[in-house]
Amino acid sequence: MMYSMTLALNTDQDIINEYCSGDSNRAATLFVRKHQKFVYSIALRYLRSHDDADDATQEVFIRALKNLKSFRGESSIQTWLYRITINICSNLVRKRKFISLFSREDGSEIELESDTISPQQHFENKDFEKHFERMLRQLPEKQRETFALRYFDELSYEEISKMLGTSVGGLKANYFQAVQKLTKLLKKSEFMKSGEDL
Amino acid sequence: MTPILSHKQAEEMLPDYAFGRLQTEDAVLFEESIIAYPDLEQELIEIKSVFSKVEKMDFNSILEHRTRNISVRVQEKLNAPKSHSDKMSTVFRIVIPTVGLAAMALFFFINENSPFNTHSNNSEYTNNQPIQVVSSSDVASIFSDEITANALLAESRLHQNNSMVTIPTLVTSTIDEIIADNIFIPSDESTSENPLQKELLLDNLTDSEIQTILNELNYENPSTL
Repeated sequence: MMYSMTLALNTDQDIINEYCSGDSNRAATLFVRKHQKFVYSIALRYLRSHDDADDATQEVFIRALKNLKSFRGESSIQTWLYRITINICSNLVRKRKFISLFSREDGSEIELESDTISPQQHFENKDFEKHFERMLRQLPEKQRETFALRYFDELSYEEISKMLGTSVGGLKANYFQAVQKLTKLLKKSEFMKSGEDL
Repeated sequence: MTPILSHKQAEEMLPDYAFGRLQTEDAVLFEESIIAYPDLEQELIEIKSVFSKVEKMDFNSILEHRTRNISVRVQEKLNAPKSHSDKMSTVFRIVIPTVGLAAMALFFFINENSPFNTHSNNSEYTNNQPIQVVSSSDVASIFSDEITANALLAESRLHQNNSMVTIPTLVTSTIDEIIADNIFIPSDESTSENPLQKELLLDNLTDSEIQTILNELNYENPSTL
């Protein structure tokens, strides 16, 4: 059922057209499902907490759907969503900083998990994922964001350039430097020393 | 063999090649070029080796698991009726600041002492323009000037099209001459403020002129003498 719905509305423009023409519930669901991972991963990188990223993602889609009819298509939907996500995450970070003044709780680590793996593998992966996240955090923001958008979200340099406001040449250099640094950091870590067999 | 790509170009393509994200043509181009750069070849081996573990991680399924209910929750929030607190927050965020600003603007426009009320200030300013005082040297030069009717006429024509209100030099000198021919009697306010000035003016008068003034004052108001 969902597959046929997705086939019927392939592009973002199809979804926007249907949303504007009246069947807003169906179009809204498709819109959210199409972009939720992208928005969630950006929010997670900024907020470093699954709960906050979850709240931020919902907030992003509520704001986006309220303004979808006024979307003029001057940039891609992903660029537009990226900007909304960054705005909402920045507000949340500010709020969290304010709240942290009155709280003694420390920032919690991200705990990535999946249902589809064995318990042993789950713990091994979980450790490595946490470690990888820590390595990622050591990169400068621009390099980290470029790496994530290119490596995880598989966006083109042109799209990333519009999102981050950096030239394509600069992004390519950033991406190479990020990969180079991560390689050096990961090579030094215990995971690589003990995991030669992996 | 001359490399097709420069070192910088090869460097920029390296990560995409390592993660298998280059198009076939670009990948062939990269492979042909990298032979000329041993440092990049070594870098490529290291990146591939380290990222082989990262590549095994299924970030996609992790994100899918985490975001599985978001569309439902977004729909619920969108379709939920606006709560009382939301309406109140709109009032606090928009209505109250707007009304406050409007009230402040109104207060400033109504208040006569406000800096926005430029009309009264300007009129006050124009009324308090200082009066130009003619120095003794100017007086000497005025008396030495030779005034002819033609010169006066020519200068007044020269200035007749000027939008600014200016008095031609010859005209002012003529006016000054007329004043000098008569006795200048300062206003009561200025004399009361500066008795020295009054004394100096009386020094300039001849005995007969003083006698005339005294007679006139006696005639107008006998009780003052």
